Amino acid sequence: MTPVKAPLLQAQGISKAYPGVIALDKVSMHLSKGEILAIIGENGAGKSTLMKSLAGLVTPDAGGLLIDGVPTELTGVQHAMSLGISLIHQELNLADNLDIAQNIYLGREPKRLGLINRKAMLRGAKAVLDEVGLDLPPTTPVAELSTGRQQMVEIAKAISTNARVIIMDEPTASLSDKETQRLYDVVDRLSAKGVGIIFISHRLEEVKRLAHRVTVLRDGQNAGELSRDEVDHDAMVKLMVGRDASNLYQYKPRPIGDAVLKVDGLATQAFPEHRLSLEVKAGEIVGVAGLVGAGRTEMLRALFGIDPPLAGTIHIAGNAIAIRNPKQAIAAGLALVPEDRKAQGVVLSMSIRENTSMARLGQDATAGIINARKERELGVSMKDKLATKAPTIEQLAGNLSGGNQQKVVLAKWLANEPKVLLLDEPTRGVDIGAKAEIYRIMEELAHEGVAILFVSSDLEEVLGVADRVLVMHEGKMTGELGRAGLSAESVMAMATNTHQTQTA
Amino acid sequence: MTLQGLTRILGISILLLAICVITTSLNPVFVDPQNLSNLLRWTALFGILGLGVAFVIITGGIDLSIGSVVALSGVCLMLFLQVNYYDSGHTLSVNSIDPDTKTITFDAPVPSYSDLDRLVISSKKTADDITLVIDQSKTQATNNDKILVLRSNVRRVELGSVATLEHQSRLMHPLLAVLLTLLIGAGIGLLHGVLIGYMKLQSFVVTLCGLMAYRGLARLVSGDEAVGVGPHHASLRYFANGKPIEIPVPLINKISATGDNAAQGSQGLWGWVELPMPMLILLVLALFSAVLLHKTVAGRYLLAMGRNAEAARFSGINTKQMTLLAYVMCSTLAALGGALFALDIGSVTPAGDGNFYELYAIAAAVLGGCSLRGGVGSIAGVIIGTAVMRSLYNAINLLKQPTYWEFIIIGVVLLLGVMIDEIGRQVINRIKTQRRKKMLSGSPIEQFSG
Repeated sequence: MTPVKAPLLQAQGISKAYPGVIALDKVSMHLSKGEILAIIGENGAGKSTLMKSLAGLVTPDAGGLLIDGVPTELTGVQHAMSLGISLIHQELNLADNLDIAQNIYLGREPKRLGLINRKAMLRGAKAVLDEVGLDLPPTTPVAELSTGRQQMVEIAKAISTNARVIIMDEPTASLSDKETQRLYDVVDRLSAKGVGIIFISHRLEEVKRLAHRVTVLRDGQNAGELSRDEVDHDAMVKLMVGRDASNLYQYKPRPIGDAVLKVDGLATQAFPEHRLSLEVKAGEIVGVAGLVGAGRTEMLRALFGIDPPLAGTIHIAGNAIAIRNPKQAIAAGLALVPEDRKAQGVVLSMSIRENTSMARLGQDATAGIINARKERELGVSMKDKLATKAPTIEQLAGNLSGGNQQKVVLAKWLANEPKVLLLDEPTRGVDIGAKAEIYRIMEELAHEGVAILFVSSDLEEVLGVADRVLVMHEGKMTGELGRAGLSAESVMAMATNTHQTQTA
Repeated sequence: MTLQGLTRILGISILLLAICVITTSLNPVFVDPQNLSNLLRWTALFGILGLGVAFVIITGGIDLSIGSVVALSGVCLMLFLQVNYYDSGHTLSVNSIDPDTKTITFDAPVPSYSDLDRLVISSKKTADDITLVIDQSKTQATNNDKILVLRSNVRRVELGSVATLEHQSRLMHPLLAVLLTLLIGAGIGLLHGVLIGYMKLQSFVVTLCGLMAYRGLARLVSGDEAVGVGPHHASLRYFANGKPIEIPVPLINKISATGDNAAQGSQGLWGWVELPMPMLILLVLALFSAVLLHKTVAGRYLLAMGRNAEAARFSGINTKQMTLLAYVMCSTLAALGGALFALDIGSVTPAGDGNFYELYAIAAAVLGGCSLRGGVGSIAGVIIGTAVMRSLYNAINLLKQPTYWEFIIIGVVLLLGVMIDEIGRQVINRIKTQRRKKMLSGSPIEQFSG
């Protein structure tokens, strides 16, 4: 491979702001021919925005792109594609109702006499499928493919556009081990042919295995760069977090009281064949670990009455309660900080005040009339208590950063003085400062005697915050670990429990 | 209210004013007190429908059945208010007839009767009976118990013929009739709410089916013929066509008396515009609605649900119940509107009355700033929006343009309104982006904007 003077793709000082948050602040990066570049960073570090800027999906507010050393302003995805840049989204963008060949040529079907040339399409599709090692007839409907294979189709599609740069957003997030291996092989092969690859990843092993070079983003800025030899776990974490990760978690034991939440034989709608039992005591923070799809969110949704449980009993502070909807759950003293903050947690076009009062508006009202004074006072006191950063309580939730939105969700529930606080991925998409504050709030609440059950995919967070960890796998409770004997390895072993026992 | 909401109301208020000024300059009759009073009455009647649909639109739904509910409720009210006659057993002989005063004198005192009772007079020559309705107010004025004044022509009555007095009997008390009509509306809303809120059917489909079914039902129960109350129920009809209050408006007499109407002459600085009953009803309902939407828990829940139903549900809001509430309000107000339309005219033609009214109501709500995406709406906006639509209609009539212009102009105005709104929003967004770009040069990451 002959070294090329100008990099294949270069970004210089790219900035992009969204309402309430600056996603990218003068970020630079470059990619050479045949190079595999990993972009890492915490949630909200600006990785996805950078990818979108490179692929023409997002127009930067400032800064510029150079393609083969030529300054270029991308006008859209089509333009980027014509210059050989392809983006493969995390949520794959294939049309389920079409077959592989139709998907590969979607929007640029080969034509003959104005009609689609099906033969040429199938021939071309077969060729690129061979290149990614996917041995399937191009007429297979995409709906029948596993996620891993759909990913391969996406890559094949990129190859068919003669892509010189392929950008992948967390390519292995939902792949099996075997599929991941195959993806690695394909990426290596593309690199050998001179295609530049950029991928976002949260999996450090994957970065170690694939990347020639690593660019680290933090809070929308360049945080540093690591060459192939420098790539190791500690170096990456340090750049990502900006300080030692251990500072974030300062676990201190707390006095723990009697059981507040007691669940026996709970059957969720997603996994009716399994029964879940658990207990959370007053002042206790219990983490729920597991892989994506292990049924953790489903368990919280069942407890909170979003998808009412099919069977099982729930006791709160010794009283058996039936939960058929969130209203009953709230009345029983439960609160849920949901997984998808923007869709389920806050109403973006309502103010901090309106969001904060939402779950207790009825309680404070007289004959159905809102008590405006009480509502204002509640908004102000909660904003102060949680140190929500906003000029006034009339600020719309949509104008707040992720961390402050999460505080508004917390405020809504704390206003209700819950006995049990359920949290689903409470720090996802939240910057590091707000993360620390959310942990602080959780600990304070625990001190006040609230029983806390939180689901998190961030293993360090689970290890750093929880008094006790429950592990789930495919809808089943596969283990429980106390503070003693708690380690990433032991949790992961339980999270992949069945898989290992089968292969062992 | 948000800045955008205020801008919207200001915008359509200016539009309304512009329509009024332009129309007046082309035909001064527009500001004639009589015309203004009529315009207010029509605005009020349609405004009631607009208020109802606004609640549904705020939840992110739509109600296409309003016009058919207007027809069905109107027909039902007319049927509930029907008056029947029964033979009182008293007969009288006609002594003299005065066709000019519509007066008949009998041989004996007339037994006790009430206004709108009637006489059935048999003819000596033909087999046909003549039915004549009594006008009590004028009879009393004659102060003679042998004399009756009638409402219709007495020329065909022959001297010496026998008249039978018939008393009226009402099916039910008029207020009960109105209550039942409103209950029918509420029932329809309940049905919609259950289907849309609880069974998760699409509002467009459910109410489209309603649009057809209720129209058919209105024709079925009325025998597909116009039904009316005739001369009866004047006191109830006062709610639709009464004009209890007069408000002074400066200059309108002088302006409306110019041009073609110069002959009428000017009558001083102040002109008196009669405020029709429906307008008073609308104002009460609007006040009630505004309080409901902005001051009550239910209103907040409706807005929250319209903006983010998922987050509302996760906050313990019973979104099904709120949906039900919105549809019940919409259909009940449609039934009230239907009742007032029917009482105003005194009869209902089931096949045609209320046609397209849902679209006028939706158009007014959208013009007034309700977003069909849900979560956004203002009561004042809906009423001003309705006023714009009615003024346009009135203008086209006064300017003697064919009525198809009404549809063209309303369509274009609505589209322009929505376009200006969207363009405005994009301009605001662009300004905000510019501001953020400026903010980028230098400062560290901000946690919030504004």
